[in-house]
Amino acid sequence: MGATAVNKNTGSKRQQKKKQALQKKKQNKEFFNAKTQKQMDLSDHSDSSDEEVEEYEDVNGVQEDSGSASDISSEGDDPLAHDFLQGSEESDDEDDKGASTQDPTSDSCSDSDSDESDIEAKSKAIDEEKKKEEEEAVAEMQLNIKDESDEFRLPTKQELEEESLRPPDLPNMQRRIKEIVRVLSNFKALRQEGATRKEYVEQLKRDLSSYYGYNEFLIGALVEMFPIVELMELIEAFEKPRPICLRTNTLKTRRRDLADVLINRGVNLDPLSKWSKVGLVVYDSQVPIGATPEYMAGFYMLQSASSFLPVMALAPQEKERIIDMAAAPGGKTTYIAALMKNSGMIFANEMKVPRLHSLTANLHRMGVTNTVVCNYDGKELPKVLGVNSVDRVLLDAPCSGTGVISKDESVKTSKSLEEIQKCAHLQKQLILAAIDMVDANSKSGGFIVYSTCSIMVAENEAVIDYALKKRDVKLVPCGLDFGRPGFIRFREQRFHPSLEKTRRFYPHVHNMDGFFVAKLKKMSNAKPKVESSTPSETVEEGLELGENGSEKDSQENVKQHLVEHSRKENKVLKKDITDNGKKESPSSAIKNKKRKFPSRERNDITENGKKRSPSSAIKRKKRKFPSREQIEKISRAREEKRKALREKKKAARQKSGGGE
Amino acid sequence: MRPLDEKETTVVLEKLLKFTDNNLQNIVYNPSHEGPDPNPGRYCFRLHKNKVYYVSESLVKRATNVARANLVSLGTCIGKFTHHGNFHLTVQALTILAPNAKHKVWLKPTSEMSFLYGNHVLKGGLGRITDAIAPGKGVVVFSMSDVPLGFGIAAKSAQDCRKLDPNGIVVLHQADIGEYLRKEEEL
Amino acid sequence: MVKKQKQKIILPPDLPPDINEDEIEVSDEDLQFVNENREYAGFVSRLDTKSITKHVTRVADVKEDALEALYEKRLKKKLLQREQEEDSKLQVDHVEALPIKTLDGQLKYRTVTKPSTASESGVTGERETGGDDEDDTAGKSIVKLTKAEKRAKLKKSRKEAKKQGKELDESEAEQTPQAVVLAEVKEDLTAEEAFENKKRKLAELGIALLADPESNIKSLKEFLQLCKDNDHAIVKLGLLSLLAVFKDIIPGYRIRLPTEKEQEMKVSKDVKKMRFYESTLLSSYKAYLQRLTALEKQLSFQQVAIRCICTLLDAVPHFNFRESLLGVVVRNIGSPDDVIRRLCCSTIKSLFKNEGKHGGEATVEAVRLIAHYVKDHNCQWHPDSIEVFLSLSFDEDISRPEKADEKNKGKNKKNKKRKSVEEPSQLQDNRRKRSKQELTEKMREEVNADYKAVAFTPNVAEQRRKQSETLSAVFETYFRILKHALQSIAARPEVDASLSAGGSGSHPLLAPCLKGLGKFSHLIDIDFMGNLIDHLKRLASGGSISENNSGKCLTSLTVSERLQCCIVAFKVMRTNLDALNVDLQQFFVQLYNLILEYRPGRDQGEVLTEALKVMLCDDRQHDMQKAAAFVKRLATFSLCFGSAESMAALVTLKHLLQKNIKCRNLLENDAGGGSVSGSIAKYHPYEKDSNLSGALASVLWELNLLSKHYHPAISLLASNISSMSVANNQVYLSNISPIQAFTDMSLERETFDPPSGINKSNNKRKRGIGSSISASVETSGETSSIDEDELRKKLSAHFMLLRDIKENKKLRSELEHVTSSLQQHKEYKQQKRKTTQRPKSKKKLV
Repeated sequence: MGATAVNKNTGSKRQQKKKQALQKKKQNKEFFNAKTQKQMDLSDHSDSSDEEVEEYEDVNGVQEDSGSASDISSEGDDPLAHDFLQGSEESDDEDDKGASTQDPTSDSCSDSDSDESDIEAKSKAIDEEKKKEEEEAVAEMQLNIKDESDEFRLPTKQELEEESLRPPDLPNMQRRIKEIVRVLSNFKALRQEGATRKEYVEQLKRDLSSYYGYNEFLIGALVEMFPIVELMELIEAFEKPRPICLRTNTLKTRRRDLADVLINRGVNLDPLSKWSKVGLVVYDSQVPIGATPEYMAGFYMLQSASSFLPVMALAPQEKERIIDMAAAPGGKTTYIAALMKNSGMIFANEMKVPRLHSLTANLHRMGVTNTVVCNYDGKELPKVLGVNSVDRVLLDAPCSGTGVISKDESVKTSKSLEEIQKCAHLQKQLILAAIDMVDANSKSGGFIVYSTCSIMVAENEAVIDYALKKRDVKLVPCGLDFGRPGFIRFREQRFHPSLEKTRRFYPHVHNMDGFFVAKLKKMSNAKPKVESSTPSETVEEGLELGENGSEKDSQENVKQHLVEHSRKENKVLKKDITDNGKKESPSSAIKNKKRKFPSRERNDITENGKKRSPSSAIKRKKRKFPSREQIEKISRAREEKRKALREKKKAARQKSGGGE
Repeated sequence: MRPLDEKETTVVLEKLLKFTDNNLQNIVYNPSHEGPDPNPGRYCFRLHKNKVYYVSESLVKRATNVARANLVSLGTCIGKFTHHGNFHLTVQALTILAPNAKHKVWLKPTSEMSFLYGNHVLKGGLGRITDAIAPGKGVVVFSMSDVPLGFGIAAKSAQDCRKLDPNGIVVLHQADIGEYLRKEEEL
Repeated sequence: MVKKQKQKIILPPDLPPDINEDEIEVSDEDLQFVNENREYAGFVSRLDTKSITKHVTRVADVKEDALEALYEKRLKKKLLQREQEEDSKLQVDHVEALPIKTLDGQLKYRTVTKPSTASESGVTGERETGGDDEDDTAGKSIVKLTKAEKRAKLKKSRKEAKKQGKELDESEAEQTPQAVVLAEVKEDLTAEEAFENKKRKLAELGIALLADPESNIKSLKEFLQLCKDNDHAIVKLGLLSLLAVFKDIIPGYRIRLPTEKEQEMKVSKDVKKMRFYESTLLSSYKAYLQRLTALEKQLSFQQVAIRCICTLLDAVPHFNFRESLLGVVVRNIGSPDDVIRRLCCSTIKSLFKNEGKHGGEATVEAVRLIAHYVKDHNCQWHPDSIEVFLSLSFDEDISRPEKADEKNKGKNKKNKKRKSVEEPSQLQDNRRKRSKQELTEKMREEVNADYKAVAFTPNVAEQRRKQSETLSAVFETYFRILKHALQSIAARPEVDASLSAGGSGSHPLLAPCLKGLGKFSHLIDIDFMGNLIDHLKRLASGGSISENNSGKCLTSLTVSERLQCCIVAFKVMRTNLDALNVDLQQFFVQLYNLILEYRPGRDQGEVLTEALKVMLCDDRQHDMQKAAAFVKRLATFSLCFGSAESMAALVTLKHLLQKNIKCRNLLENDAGGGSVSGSIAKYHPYEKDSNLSGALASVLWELNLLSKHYHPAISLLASNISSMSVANNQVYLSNISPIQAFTDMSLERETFDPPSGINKSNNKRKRGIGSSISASVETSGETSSIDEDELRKKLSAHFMLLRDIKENKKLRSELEHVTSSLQQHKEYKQQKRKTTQRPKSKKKLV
């Protein structure tokens, strides 16, 4: 609000200057040619600058200030100019502004260099100064006019500075988000001249993260996974809670009967969608749905729709031996027991002691009698329950919970790259344990179902892909006729093509928590030492890339707490790092790294060094970059790294500088 | 986890006998349908951390390789031994008591909730009652729609109940499924 | 030959009481006539003995007899006054049967019939009962008389003659010349004549008494004398006619003999006369009763005696010495002799029915006595003796205490008030006045008593007391019987089933006892209730409650008896504990098992169906498990038995399904996921306890078979039920009770000719028609094949029910070769609804 207020009065003040502004227009032209090619660098420059603000501050803080000031005024003034300026010139005007911010410094310094005591020159300079000022005024005025147009214009870094100082202006931000989305949805038509999609995206990320309160890492990850429009839907979906959902306990009643009883109690409900025979959706209810006599009698269980899926995928048969590796609070376990009609047996394992109470209570309440509840770390289970001993294993792995943000807001900010990596690592161990426990030549079974409530590729497809390589298992269809197929390729990662058999579920698509389900069939009890028989070409490449990185990382890892990683994981981990290094804003990486892990800073810096150069480079050049940076990486010894960084930074500046 | 010794067994069975006169044999001799084996054998009582569990033998077989420390529960927990060696049935026992109950009481819908909050069953809330209830017998409490709600000890015989005034106590509360919510931790 | 016919004809004319009135007035004038010319009677009587002498009168008599006879024979239609003549005619004929005493008979008729409406009835009764043996005795007396007997008879007859002579003398003023002849003839009076005389004597006495009791009340004694006669026939006649007399003359009140005080105090003449009359009447009555009781012991007289006693008890229960009467009657109530037993029972019943006559005391005493006897006979008595209780009637509002109490209080107050009012007056009055007062008091009370006795308005308190006493006595008896039955079972639990099959074995009284309990269930005191139910339970379980676990429980009770027990228990509960809804689990369990033990031939299906109705249909609500178990079992049951039973079963089943919707998922193949039956995951067909059978885990595949039952009604109902789950239940709320269904069907069963035959004919006809038949046949064929393999599926699913499956095999083979024809039969029916079963079934089902 504050900003607009300023615009108003400034605008009124500037009204009378219009006429002179008009007559001075021709003089603008001459600047035009000179500044056109500069624009690119400028824009890049500004990008890089707001990526690493800290570097810029010491270098040219002064002009920053002036620029920012002018920016504000200009921003304020734009609205009036609109009517009689056609689209072509807007870019010019902007350039003017840009020039106005830049030139004085350059000229002044050049002048000062050439000759000090030339009064004429000085006076001329002064005149120019004046003239410039007037021009600026005109420009600003025109800008004012233009800014009101439906065309959207990215804010410059200075404005962002200002915003960061001011309390966040949410409606404004929301408007901007909408605008950007609109622009991106139809980039060709609506793009602002010279602004790259990337700029928009970065801006969008910033706004989203501040508007919805995500941390950059998470928002970045999401942006990578979804096209912008869908991203918006997803984030919106995360904001509102999922409908309450309950599962009929078929050990005790039938869905129809239960529905009748609950409706009589004043609960407004409907059958869950067609894929479940036992699910009910609760819209609203007079009575606390979690405290009805029927609930206490174990007629139903309150659990999210998504948690039906892994059990349905598991499809347990009667008389089978089944392990639920992470059972609490028992929603899935009781569902399994119900499907087995209390026959066979279930090992319900839960590592966290405090959650055991709710697990056992639920089991008893639901009248489940075929379960043995034990308290182990999932990794030890094979040792305890024996290898190749059961028919099916359900591994609902502990995860970052990025799918259930609507349930728990804290995920938005708490999760970081490390946590994802930690989860991924644990999940890989667990899935191997799960596979080991399954008996491949069981008549009815031999299946493993892996599920997470995370939507991170690293916790899902990557884990499955890893399992595919480490054990003789193959993916089989989940038996769920809906849900999105899993990623086969994600950025430069290439997974086994059969991963499309896995299923992803999203709040905005399926109106349930973000979820991932994969069903594996164990082919043989042998543990193959070799990699999966036919690694696809792309995977190969991805691997090599990883390999190269691996030594360096492994050494670093000593510093980090990821000691226990095996080489393979390192590779994948590396991949993660690199790819999010490549794709998402390194600045974010730096910022939070800086906060937490000083030890890793340089590493990141190198990366964003790498990153920045390609980004600043022209598109066609980008193809070659991997090779070059490989060479660099391999050639450089570790102790030289710091120097290398500095050089790279310099080089970067020179490049930008040399562009002119 | 260990089988009950003589004393404990008698104590437990007597408790159960109060609720299920000659249906106790069903509890003890019926073949279990849990367990993966083709013939899972019968049910048996196991004592684990002073809780008594009613489990299919085949489950017990398989549960043996779980370390005592890490074994949390198996089958149905039907009660716990106090330090003084007394045995108390817990709510979970309802799973085996309800089908085998000899003495039943049905509650009017209006009085369900009060029972689920741990109150005794008053005559006023009585919807139906089986005959041949003698004081001191174990009674399983049902809702009018045959949902087992809990169990208790009969205070009056079915005949006396007729003379009783509406808020005379018919069944003394022992356990009710409300405890699943009220005291999840103790269970 | 002829005689036989005659006798046959004779039976009807025993004068029905209604004719008495006019008869009697007639009799008066005739009486005078007879009295004034007795000599005729005597004369003629003597004359007739000389049967050879042709006497004008006799001839004339004969003639007129002949004429009348002809006349009668000619026109068979009779007007009312003619009737009597005809009677006389018949009488004559009857007497003719004994050739010698033709005229006598006639004479006797003239004299006797008038008075002895009652005596005749007595005679008739005699004929009814022991007619034959009487004849025998008569025959004996006629045919073989040894000298001794003759002589004895002679003496007796002489004595008689003298007596008679005296009478005659005193009666006859002047003698006719024939008297001489008469005198000499007198010697050789034959026994028959003596017999006749006695008869006549009886008759005369009877007439006299009836004419005016007051005057010749003394003749009762003679009567009694006659009854002491050795001749059985005479004695019987005497007893009977005396009975008639007493019935007539006994007053409508109870005679209270005056105390000495009253004796000494002088009273008016007529009062004295009255007292004398009463006392004599009473004494003679007493004597009579003594005689009766004495005779009742002897076999030959038993029936007569009992008859007399019964009639007396029935007629004058309010009169003195009722106790002794009751005693005899009750003693014989369970006698092996059917006639006597029936007599007594009917008497007691009538006694119970119209208490007005005796204001209830008799009832109480009777019941007490019966209870006593039951106790003495240790419950080994004839069932009728207990069934008598069923005709007891208690009226509710009296038995209801509080009301009666307040009434009672009110009454007492009134009484007190009256007393208190009168006390002072009495005190201040002098003794004369007081005596008068007392007298008036007494008078008033007596009047009150009589008034009460006559107008049936006994005071409520009294009635209540009586009722409660009666009740307690009755229930005491019932409980004793129950206990005994239990003991008998407990005594020999190893009784083989044959006995149990062979009707009520060791406890004849159980059945009526149960009936009674059922009838009076609403009157049972709550305190009894407990152990009553307990007993019933033990009985219902065939006393094998303890050794349930020992598999097949041996019982000495028949299935129907045990069912009865269940029913009674339910009635009792329903009528008493409606305030508190008690669920008689045990009995349900029993019924559940009894259904299997039921055998169509052996046990009466009515009881079973009643049990079904009372226990399953009428009961408010059941718990799901039980209901499901019964539904399943009934379906099974209806597969195994005849159309009637299965119909009843199906109706019940439908009731159950309509009542508790949850059981409907027996009709569906899958209960939307796992089994609802909780811990009981699968159906145990042989489970004893309905609650543990886990029937909810099973499916009602029987209906599929039944829907192809040969009986259209059943098949329709079955298919109807199986479609119930999909349709809303309100549509066909069947209002027919199982009993009704059963009776309908069992009636129908006779008429219902196996439709296969019909169908055959139908087919023939259809074949005749031709075109349509081919299609229909094919369709039916393929449908049947479909049914078969889905049938096979279900069978394989439920092969555990072995005996069902045997049933099914039979049924199926039958079905296979009937189905096609059945289809057409149905179509045929739908075309023309004239067939009998159709509308019936419709009515049932919709």
